[in-house]
Amino acid sequence: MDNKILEVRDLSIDFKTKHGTVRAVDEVSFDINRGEVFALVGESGCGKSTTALGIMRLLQEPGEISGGQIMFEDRELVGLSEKEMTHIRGKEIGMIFQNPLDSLNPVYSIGYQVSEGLITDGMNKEEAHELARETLRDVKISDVESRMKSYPHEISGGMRQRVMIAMMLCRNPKLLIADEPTTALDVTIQAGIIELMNELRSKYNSSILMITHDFGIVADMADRVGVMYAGNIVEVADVMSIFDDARHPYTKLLMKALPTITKEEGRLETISGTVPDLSEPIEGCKFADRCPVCQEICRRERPALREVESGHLVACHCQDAEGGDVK
Amino acid sequence: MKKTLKNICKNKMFLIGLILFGVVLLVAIFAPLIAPHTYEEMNNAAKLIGPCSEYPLGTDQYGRCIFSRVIYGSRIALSVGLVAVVIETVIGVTLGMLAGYYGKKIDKIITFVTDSAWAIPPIILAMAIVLLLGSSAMNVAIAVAVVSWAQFTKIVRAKVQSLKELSYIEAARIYGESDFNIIIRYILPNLTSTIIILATLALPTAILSTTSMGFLGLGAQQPQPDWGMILQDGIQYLGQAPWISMVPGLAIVWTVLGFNLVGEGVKDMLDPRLKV
Amino acid sequence: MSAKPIVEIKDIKKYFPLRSLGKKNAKFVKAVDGVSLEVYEGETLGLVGESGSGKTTLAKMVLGLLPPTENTVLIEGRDIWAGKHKKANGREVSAVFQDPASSLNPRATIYKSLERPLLINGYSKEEAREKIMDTVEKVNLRKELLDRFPNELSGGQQQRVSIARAISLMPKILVLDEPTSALDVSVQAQTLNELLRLQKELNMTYIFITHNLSVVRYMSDRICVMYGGKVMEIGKTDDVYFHCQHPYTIGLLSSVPPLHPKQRDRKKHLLSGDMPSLIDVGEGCRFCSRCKYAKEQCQTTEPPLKEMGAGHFVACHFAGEIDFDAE
Repeated sequence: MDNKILEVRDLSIDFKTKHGTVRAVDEVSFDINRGEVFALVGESGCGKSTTALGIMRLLQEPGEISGGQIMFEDRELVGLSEKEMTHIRGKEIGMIFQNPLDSLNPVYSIGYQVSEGLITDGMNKEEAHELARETLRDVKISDVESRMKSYPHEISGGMRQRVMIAMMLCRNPKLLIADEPTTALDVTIQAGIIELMNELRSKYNSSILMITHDFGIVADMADRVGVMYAGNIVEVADVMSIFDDARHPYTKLLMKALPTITKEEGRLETISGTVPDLSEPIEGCKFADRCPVCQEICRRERPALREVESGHLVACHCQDAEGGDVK
Repeated sequence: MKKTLKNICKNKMFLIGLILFGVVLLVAIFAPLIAPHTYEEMNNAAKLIGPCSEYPLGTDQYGRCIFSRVIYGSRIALSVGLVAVVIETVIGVTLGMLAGYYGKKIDKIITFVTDSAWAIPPIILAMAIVLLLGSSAMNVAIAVAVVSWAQFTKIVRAKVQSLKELSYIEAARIYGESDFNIIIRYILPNLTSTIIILATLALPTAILSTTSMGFLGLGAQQPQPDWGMILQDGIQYLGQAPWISMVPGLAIVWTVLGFNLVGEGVKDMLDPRLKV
Repeated sequence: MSAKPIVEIKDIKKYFPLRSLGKKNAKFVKAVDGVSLEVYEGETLGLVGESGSGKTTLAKMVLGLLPPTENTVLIEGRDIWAGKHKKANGREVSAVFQDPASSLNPRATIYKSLERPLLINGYSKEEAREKIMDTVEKVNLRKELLDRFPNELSGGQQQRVSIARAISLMPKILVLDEPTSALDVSVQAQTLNELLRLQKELNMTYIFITHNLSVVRYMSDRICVMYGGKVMEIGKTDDVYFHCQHPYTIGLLSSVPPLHPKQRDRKKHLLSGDMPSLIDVGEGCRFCSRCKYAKEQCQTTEPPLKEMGAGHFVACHFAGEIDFDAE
């Protein structure tokens, strides 16, 4: 039990809009073990980023947590006051966003921004600067002395993301949430960042919650994977099982939609239909309309996440207890 | 439609503005019905008298009803302001679109002209123009438009520069759409909210400028009831008949405030991010 | 694939002048600096490279949107930049752009957006209606969407409209500028399949610009790798993908995230640093600042494109001599 750093239980997040309530995250449960990289993967609008913001308690109006628990170590984060959350944010849970230029303050130097958090934590200025320098070196920034004095617009996108990572890592958080950290970057830069994160996770022994839509990044980094669809987690398993032994029809189809072949070898699998409208209540499985193996029960009853094999959870009626497909 | 109405009611300042504006508009339209006298009717027996039942807000030195003159004056203020805004919108938007769309030399020339227009003190330039064209209400409108189109150009130019980078404009060029058609069919429709906001915000300024010109004696001539001119008339009698200046002054404040609130409200509704 | 080139580009250049205060010898950004290419009828040429490699600038010159600084583009032997008032011609070359949302006029209904190009090109209202219905069917777009506005459509649907608009004039060549990078995996698969089917049906030639190397492998017959405004390597998809000979290509290829976690320990040839500025380009190879195999010769002389196999050209002094697997 103690091995878990984060436990999310039945987390629901609602957006109350003029046109009704949209349940963006619907009773999502997962947990992250110490030192592991957990990837939350899904297509746009599936609720993966909202989940991350919910954990950080950074939801913007009109979004709010309407139910569930978030246990970070032994503390319940839902219901903590804003003041208590500020101590946890940054210090214990760090977050890296998709667009590094938006996340850095353009009027302060890199050195100031990286060491700022450390000074808030009570470190004196010299120590903080020294640690900032060291961390910047860790994220492979060359010529650290002059970079400390640079401003965000003077450095490239890839380097900004490295600075963001350094900013988060230097306070040594227990959990790092990375929300699509490489989506805005070129592949070559992305590869460098992933390599860096893989190197650093062992050095800093951070647990990482990786939010991504890219199965390539999942394959390259994750230990365990949660697949989200329309606000639900439909499958949780270790990364090998997801790629070799996916059980949920949605996961299976997604894997076949990845362009791994040439056009001479065949055509990519596609998923017919579109994601359902979440502002209206849906009975039964949300994937039912697009599912190739949909049965009558799928339209009546929402399938719960069940363990079909040790550590492999699937939310699908078409799975028997032994884990095989029910035809 | 229902939603828009609901939004309007939520925004209290906008609602107040709308009421102020509505009153001015109704007064202007129904001036002959509201005013007890005509604006030129003189009464030698009742010069500079204070508010009474016959003259609700007193009379001026010729014995003309101030209330009636200010009521009729709203017609001049609104029409001159409106004409000024229409002219400046046309000049400003046209130049802004040309500069933003074509760039290069055309942009450089228009930007230079705009900057120069901005650098000349507006009231002096406007006075010069009216002196050149002769004093009349419509010439004031032209003068005010000539001195204030520059902000339209600046904002429209910036907006067009970002619009023309969008893929649908490039696509239109690929399909052989001419530059003229791109500007008219693709760029202009996407500028409508910007233009509406700019125009509603420019109207109070235009009214203020036109009445200032009237105050300087450059606007509509006697016996036309220009608010600025009535205000000027009253200044020499400020001691004995302060109502002559106060009433048109209050009318100006009322109208400009109303339009400003409406303009802000329209801006918030159409594009909260636009900086003017 | 027939051997008839439909697009011929020879040593084309596009320099953008930098803003300088009236100085005579202004500096230039050399976005495209001497590219020669042939695209054959019916094939798909994949154009890959990082941002700033000049691939989009090159495409714009083919589309008639940007006049080249030097030399020209021949389409079916005709110089598209001849004559003073060059007009782009959607009947010959058309395009689908990256961002589906900004590809359509937000103030026009889908029908109007599709109708306009036809009307400009001499269709009557009735002919245009017929053609639109026909095209919409071809791209599998529901007819009831025609009266909607772009913001009422999903990203995938918007991209279908863009494709419909592009093919309605029956162009011979379609430039696809990252058409799926803003789309989700499952929608991407649909769109790519759609494009392949249409290419066969309408016998179109594709120029497919992307930074996603898995997508380009699925779609292309040949791949052209660009860097710093120049062609680094060009050849058949399999030659470039599996037997690449340029150090940049291998760097780019190994930046692609793996498609299976088993490949996590693959040999990586990660590129360090960023693309150098294209303002003061030196005498030597564009890539030498990031190339770990660079020798003195690379600093001083620019490598020409050498033919290393049938139709496989590489711009490297040491093409064929470098053993990428050696440590």
